[in-house]
Amino acid sequence: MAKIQEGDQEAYRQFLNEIGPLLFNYVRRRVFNPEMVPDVYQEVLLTLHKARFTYEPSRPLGPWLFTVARNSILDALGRNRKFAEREVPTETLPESSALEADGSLGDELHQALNSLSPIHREAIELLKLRGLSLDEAAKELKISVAALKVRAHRGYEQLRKLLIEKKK
Amino acid sequence: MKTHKTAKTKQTPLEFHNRIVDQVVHEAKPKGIHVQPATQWLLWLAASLLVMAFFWMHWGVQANVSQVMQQMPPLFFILSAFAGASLAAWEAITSSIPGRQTGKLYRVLAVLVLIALVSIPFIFFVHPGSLDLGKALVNGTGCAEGAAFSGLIPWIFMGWMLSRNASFHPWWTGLWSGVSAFLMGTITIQIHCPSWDMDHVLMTHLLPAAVGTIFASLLGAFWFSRWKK
Repeated sequence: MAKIQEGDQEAYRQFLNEIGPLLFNYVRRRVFNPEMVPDVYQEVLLTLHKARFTYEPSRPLGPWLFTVARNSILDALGRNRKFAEREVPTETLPESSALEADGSLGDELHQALNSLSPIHREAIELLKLRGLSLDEAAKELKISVAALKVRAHRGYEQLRKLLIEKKK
Repeated sequence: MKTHKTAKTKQTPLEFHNRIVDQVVHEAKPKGIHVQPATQWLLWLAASLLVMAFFWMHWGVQANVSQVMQQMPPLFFILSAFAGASLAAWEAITSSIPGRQTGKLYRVLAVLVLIALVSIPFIFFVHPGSLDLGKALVNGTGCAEGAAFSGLIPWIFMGWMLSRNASFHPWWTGLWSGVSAFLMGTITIQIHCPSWDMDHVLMTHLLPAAVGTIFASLLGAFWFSRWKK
């Protein structure tokens, strides 16, 4: 581990190969959804990588390793739970789309987009309708990428509210 | 470091493992030396005592401090504040290093010391005729500011140290770092200020430590989780 902290890539590879099966089983025993096991295992390895410098070579490896593993499993599961609460599975989405068959905007979406403030509408049009990248759109509007992200985010929020109200 | 969210492919666990290993090994660069927790604690102590000494030289200490410290209640108050700060600093440091967390007994001990600290003014210090905590705060804003300011500097130092560790419970680390640093502020101001009245001590020496702790906990939740990003 001391070699790993000094940046020895071969020692690092060997170490990860040695602890890999152990950690994979550890994750598998704690994550009940088998589909999530690879994602969580990946998360554990990445966290281990970021925390590797906190290991003290004079101390036993086990407590350090399993504390990192246990906490990163909990973090990953917590994040997944939060995500699952907000996620709408594609099977439950309505059949109808805001886009018409020819790819043009539907009336509802068109009206909602028109009722947005100009700066928000502009941001959404460039990013979603014209398909520009963040950099390209920001250059066209002569604003920073961060400012563009804020405008687009606010625009989406307004758009969502408008569409929900219309549905009601 | 960028995260790699491409886990769900039809790979065997071994192939999958090898792919992640390739990614992380590629980014294995040497990091600076990680300071051991005991050394971090000593550094915090030295820095806090230096800050304390600086403020005492700048503001002065109460005239009869040696006589006051011969009485039990003030002495216990200062000692329990120091013990509380030291225990809290160790809790903050170890909570931010995987595998070094303290046990429940240690945390119970730290909380008991803090309860004793807050109880001492109620039990032993001079009670005013009519208790007006608001008035005590207004009359002692100088002390409150001094306590907060002299705690803030050790906290910034401690925060910098803790941000180089890897806390999985950043708000908890922040909370205990706040207790440790701002109690040092309480000691600094208590040695400077000649008033040992209950309401004054509670509102202008201890309350800033409590407020500082909340602030440290909130800010710590953000600051001490940055290592994961």
